[in-house]
Amino acid sequence: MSLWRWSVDELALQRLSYITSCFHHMVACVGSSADGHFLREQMEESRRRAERVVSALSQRLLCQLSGSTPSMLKDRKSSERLWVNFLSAVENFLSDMRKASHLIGWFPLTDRRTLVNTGAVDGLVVLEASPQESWISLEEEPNLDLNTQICRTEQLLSELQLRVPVFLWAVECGNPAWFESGTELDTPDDSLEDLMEVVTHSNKVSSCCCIRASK
Amino acid sequence: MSDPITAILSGMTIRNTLRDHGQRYRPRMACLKKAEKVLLEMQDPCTGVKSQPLRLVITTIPHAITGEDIVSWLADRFQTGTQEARHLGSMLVALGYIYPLQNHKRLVIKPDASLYRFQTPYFWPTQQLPVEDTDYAIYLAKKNIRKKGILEVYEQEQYNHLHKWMNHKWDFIVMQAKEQYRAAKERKKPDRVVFECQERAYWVVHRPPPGTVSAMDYGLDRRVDPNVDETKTPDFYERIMIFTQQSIMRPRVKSSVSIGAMVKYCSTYSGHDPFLSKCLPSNPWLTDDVTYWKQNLHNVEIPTKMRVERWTFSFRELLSDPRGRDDFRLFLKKEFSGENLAFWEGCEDLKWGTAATMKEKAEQIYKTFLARGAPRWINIDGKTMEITVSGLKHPHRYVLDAAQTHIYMLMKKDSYGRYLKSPVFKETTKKAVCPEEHKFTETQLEHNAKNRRPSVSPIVLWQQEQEQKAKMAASAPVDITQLCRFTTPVPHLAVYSGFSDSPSTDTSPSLPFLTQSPACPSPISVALDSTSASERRLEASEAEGDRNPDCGASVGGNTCRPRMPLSLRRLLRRGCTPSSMFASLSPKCHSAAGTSSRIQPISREDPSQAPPRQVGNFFQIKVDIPPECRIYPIESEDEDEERRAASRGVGAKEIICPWESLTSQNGTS
Repeated sequence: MSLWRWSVDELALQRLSYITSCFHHMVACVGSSADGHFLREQMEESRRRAERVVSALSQRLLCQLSGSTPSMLKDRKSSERLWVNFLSAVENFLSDMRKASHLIGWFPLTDRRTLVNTGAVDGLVVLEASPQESWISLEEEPNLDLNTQICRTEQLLSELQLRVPVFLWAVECGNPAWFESGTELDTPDDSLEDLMEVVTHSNKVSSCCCIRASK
Repeated sequence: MSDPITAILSGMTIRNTLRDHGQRYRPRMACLKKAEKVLLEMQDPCTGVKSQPLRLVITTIPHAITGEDIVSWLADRFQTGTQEARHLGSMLVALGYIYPLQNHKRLVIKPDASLYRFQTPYFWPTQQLPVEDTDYAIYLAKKNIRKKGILEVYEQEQYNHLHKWMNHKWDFIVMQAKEQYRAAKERKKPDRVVFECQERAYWVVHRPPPGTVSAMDYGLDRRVDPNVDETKTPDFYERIMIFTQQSIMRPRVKSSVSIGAMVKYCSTYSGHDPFLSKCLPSNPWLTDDVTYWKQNLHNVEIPTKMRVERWTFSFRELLSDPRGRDDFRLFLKKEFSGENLAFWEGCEDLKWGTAATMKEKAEQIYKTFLARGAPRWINIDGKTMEITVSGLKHPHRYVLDAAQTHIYMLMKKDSYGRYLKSPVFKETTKKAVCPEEHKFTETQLEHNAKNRRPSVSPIVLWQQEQEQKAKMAASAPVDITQLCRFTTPVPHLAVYSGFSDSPSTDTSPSLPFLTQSPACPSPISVALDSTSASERRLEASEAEGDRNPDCGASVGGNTCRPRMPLSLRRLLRRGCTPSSMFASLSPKCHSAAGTSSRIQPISREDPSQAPPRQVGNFFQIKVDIPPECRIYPIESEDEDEERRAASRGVGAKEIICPWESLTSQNGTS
């Protein structure tokens, strides 16, 4: 029974992670040549979805952890780990939102000439609709302003930390170091050096990002 | 968990876990706002920097710019020369606003066809928002995934370090890395390439690899947020008032004079300034080779030519360089006027030392240098002496300032000039070394950068210095002065002033008195030793030269008696003449300590027993001391009641501190 509950939470956390990653990519394009109205809309969309996941997950985890039911040690440990990861995710998202707010204020899209020519053309990362989010049964909130969301998230974070008595840095991570280097990639990836190969006039392919400059 | 500690700690945000000493604000970088303005101007399609598409094998990426275009644009915009424009361009790259496409670790502008791109505003450095280690950890984890664990050495080190410190959220970091990687794959290929370049460039600036110089590598954070306006408390206004008052009170100098001084200073020092001239053999900050620092350590045997040249600029330079001061000390020793420098150093020690030791130090200095008949008497004028002595009644850190200044000027006007013409200095100049300039190739530079190692800890260096100081104090070379006409010079007896060079070299530096072997005692241990010794001395003096090594036995059975060291003053009151005393204190006179090997430990708790802990127990004879003042050794701090009784109406003049006779409690401290 409890196993089922945690896997839902973990999936939710993963979902949150995905949404914030997309948001991260989109924020990285604000102010650049890849910026545009559609991008900004997508950003709004993604942060709202993130907000929903955050509030739902926070409520669930709060119930689990602030309750005084003495759960098993192992359960407790993984619960705490989840909690720490959740808080880290929210904080990470918060810092991205702050940056977004700063950049949006700076580049209001009124004059495309001021946008920085970074070489990027299209910053869009389309969020896939997720079936997992259907479990989030929240009343529809009125559209949140970015700054309001930032404030609310900050408040939520401090509130969560006060209410849940968990030593954040006493929690150990589940996997050892360098674990992710063994991750199976879906498709074999090209290194940046390969990607940056330039076609030179002599039809020889040379790398654009060479490390050693000739003196 | 419901203990109170958890409640307190859980109030802290996750952000604070890393090396938080309350310092987390970046120092104000006013250049950032200015750089941003310039960057935005460069974007204008008409008046901005020309861009071209970059043709890659897989795709074409627009907006590549060449180094020469950037430099010429900057030169044009700011109406300045190419050199200046290059510096400005390099600064923009070092700050992270523009990144190079080739050789991404070198953050400079090359004014040729090398390609660059503008960085996206998300990755621009900002004053307000700090660079998070969490983001760096995510980046490294992503790279790990992509490259299957093959990271560069410095990245591996960073990874391990972060893994240790952010262990509690490492699951999140890996998860986020995977998700970001996945999201990146959904982008179009050229955009993906661009993003990866941008991210890599960002971290080269903010977590520079060894050998990279980035402008954001600024060192420590500030404790106070420079963006926040200071609150106008009464304290704040008080500070402002003091500041303005001091500004008004500041002495003024004609601008011609001050500018002349500045010009002179610049022309004198420009060859020695590592920013303006070459630093021989090479500047360690640029080449990562620490020979320069090694050759300029405090206690180096052979100084460099540049260093010796600096000693000729001013007396202050000579004194402030420890090696220079050593040389000067050597010269003064040969001239028998080392007391000036010793006094000056004592004053510095007083000024900069801990408050607890101040009173003791002041007394010590007085007894050694200032009092009538002091062993290392310095020659200052009457008025200064008056001021100093009266000030010493209530000693504070700067009580010896007047005397110190006088002595400083004396040394500067007199000894310094002679030093520069002396054989000591000539010898040093001759031996001074001029190192060859290093000429490193790029590979060697990289090699040096990889081999950077932390230097010796300053604590270790300080300890070494202290040991050396103590060693010097314990075995200072003999400083033979002219003999006083009151003493009959006995040729085979050495007259000592300062500590004797004890043959037993296993003296512990901190307590030279304790471990003397009985066979060759130094005068100090003799002076500190038990009653039997002093009594034996007495016997010796009465017997007028009876230096029987077994005279210890002649003093009836006092080996069994508990030995209470008498003050040497008692000796004097019994009418010892200096000559016999000195004779008996010679190490050649084995009768002095004789068979006694029991040396009283130095303890503060029992003042009657305590021998003087200071180094003041040495004798110096000078002819210029007024005839009525004979030379007597410094008494110990014990038996002050005797001292006071003796101070009136006793023929022998003792060295007492004028302030000690004021109150009875004053002496025993």
